[in-house]
Amino acid sequence: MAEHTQSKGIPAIVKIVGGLVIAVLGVVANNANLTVHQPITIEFGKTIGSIGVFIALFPVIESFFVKPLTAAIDERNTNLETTFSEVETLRNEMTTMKGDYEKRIASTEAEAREKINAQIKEAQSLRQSLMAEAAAKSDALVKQAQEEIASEKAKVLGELRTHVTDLSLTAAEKVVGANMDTAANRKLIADFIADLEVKA
Amino acid sequence: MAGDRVAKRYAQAVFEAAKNAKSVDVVGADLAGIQSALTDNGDLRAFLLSPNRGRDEKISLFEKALGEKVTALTSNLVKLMLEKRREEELLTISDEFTTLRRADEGIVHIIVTSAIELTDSEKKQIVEKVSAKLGRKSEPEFAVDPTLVGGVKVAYDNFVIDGSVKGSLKRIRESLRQDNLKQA
Repeated sequence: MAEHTQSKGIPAIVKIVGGLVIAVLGVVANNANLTVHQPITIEFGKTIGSIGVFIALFPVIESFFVKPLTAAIDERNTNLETTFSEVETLRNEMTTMKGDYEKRIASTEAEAREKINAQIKEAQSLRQSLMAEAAAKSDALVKQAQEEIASEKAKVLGELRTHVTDLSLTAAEKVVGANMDTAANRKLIADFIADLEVKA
Repeated sequence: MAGDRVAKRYAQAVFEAAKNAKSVDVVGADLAGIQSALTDNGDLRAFLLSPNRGRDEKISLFEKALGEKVTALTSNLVKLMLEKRREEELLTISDEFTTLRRADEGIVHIIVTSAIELTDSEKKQIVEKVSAKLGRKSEPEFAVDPTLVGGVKVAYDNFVIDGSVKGSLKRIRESLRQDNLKQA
């Protein structure tokens, strides 16, 4: 796009010199009064001179006007291309970033879901564990309470039996004492002497 | 407890001396008399055990009181014990002496306790039966304890033959308690 026309074709100096030669030839021809009048008037000398001047002026115009304009256009094109390229690059980067971002979002969501699921599982496991522990403790407490009740019951029953026994025997002792007269006592003593077993 | 050991040592010493002098019975009777006097006479016992009374004062009183009534061995023993501040052991030395004498002579001490006073015949039967079974002479001691309700209790050495109503009720009570424990 930024290539110069000077690098191709005939060099400018040759064109200028060639143009000037042609212009001189035109002047010569004009001086020779080479003119054709039929059907229209053609003055070859002026025509050739004008062509020579144009040929000689083209490289000058090219050098002073076309080249800067071309350079400016090329630069603008280059800038545009650079801008487009940057835009394209940015767009690509944006696309890449968008892709990465979407991937990251997807990954984060998956990770979050995984963590949530793991937490839910852990919570469920903990709940079950706590419930099992509470049930075990409850069972143990119930069992202990039952054992204590049974123990207390047995203890109270034992105390009651002992108390009843004591009361009965105390009553029996009083009844026997009240009914124990000398004759009965003598008989007891006689029976004791009769049955006396002495251990050595 | 320490007093018992001391009394036993004094009793052992005086018993050996009495045995050598062939006066065990006399010394035993002396000691029993002294113990009886101290037990029955509260003033005498208070005087003997008083820490405010001097040693010489106590010795002097006992020498006057005992005088010629006891053997020299007994007199010397009492004097020695008072000199050594062993007044309290005078209350138990007679028992220790008696125990030593019985052990030396192979005599069994029988304690017969009854709810009412035993007749002579009953006492004799019990003593003869125990002596015959054990093959040893016996020295009985009879006591009346109305709390036995009825019957007799005989104790000798480490044995007790309980034929009293109270003992029977006690055994029944223990048996019932054991049954209660087994059921619990």
